[in-house]
Amino acid sequence: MTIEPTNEIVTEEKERIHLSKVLGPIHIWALGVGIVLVGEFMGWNFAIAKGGSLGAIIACWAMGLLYVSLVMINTEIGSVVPEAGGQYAMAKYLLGPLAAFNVGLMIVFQYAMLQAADVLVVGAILQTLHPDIQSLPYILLSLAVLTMLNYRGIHATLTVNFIITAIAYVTIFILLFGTQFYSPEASLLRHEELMSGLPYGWLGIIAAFQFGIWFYLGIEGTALGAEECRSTGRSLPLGALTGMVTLIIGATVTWYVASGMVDWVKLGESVYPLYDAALATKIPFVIGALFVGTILSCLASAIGCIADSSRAWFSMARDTLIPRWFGGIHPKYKTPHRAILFLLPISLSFGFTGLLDQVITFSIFSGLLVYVLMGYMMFKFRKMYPMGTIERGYISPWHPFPAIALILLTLLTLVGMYLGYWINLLSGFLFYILASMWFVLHRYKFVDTNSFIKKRWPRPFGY
Amino acid sequence: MSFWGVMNWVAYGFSALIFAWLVKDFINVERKYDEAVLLGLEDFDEEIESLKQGGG
Repeated sequence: MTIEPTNEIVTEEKERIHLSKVLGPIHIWALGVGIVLVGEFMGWNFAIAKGGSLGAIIACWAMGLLYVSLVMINTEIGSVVPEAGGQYAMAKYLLGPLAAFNVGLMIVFQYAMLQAADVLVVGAILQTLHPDIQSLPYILLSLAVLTMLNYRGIHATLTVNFIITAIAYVTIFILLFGTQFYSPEASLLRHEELMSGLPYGWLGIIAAFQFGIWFYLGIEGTALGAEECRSTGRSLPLGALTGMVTLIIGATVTWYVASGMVDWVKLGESVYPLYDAALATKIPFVIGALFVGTILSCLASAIGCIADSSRAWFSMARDTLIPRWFGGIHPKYKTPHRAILFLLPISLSFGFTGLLDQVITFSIFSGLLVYVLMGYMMFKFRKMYPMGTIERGYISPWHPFPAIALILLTLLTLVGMYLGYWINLLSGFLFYILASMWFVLHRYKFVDTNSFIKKRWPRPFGY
Repeated sequence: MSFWGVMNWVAYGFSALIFAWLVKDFINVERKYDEAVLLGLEDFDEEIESLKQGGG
């Protein structure tokens, strides 16, 4: 539809403007796995420096348990709350405005900061190709192209994301088969020689948790696409759970190959661990594939981060927790265009603080706070809406064990993070306390409490 | 200027074009549509209701 300034067209639009409902399970898979996959290509290996090779794989699986629990909880509540905003929308219905405001803010920071890191890495990788290549033009180009994709529609955006995520994922298996792991005689893997056990004991494992989460960090972002699914009850569980299985397999293969190709001390310090493992094979095709895979994984992550952060910001605005203006929808593309454009310079400014590790730590910290609240929300959700009182698209098994595992493992990860980044943690807490004070003292009087909870939302059990 | 030096400027150029298009489209939309239309105020409740019945 072309944009026409006639009254007839505007009136027609007024009756049907909303976010597009065009997403299927593969798009949800791409949204979740796309954001996370960069963590297989870099970041996770610092777990080896903290806990040794064995500590890293224990952290990988422990964090796998955390995220399986999170995805199950997320999917059950998300299939009932089909609004954009994911965990923010859940907090809105289950915890109230102040918690929702904080959760929304945490999601926005988590993804906007991660997006900045992704494009900075793309620039840094390209710069290694030739001394004449500058990183800045490619950082700007990546941001411009990915923002335009998101601006012009979610379906095309996540279709592109599905393709590049799938290619990046396949490159991990190209590396695996390049090592000829299946042949004891020809295998390039030397686990016995290159691995370590638990050099720092159990404390090392806990310290490794904060980097083990890189294998999965962001998969919960699948819930932010709920409102744009053709069928939320089908697409969200299918996309999120297959995404989680994809990541657990990818994480284990990543650890197995990298640990067998690169000495654990070097691996614990590597910036691009999978690429270093590819270099160790000395096979040009494998090296080229992993170079491409690393760049694509960063781009896929940035695409998903733009989509998720803008949906969270848009939802908060629609509920008047922040100025309503940010809740605008593009009449032609059906995307939250104001939120997308507003967050672009914010994200860019995070990237150019020169404090990339601090930015990433704050991003992870924000995500962890959301996980603790998700565990609590699951208890509250089952109490407010017992089984049979509301139609669920997915039912999380073994309740309350996933919620307990989620809370305990998240708290352990925060303890591990505190050991290395206690100033960041305390600063993060302080930031969210100040933000809460601003909300209570200043913003809350502007919140439209009548439209905050929809009238047709079923009343809780015993209301 | 080397090949990669030229490519740097090409990347700058494409970025500027895309950002310019985004700004232009944004201004067009803001000028041509009423604020209430862009905020989709009237149909939001129905939206959630239909989702809950059909997809939830």
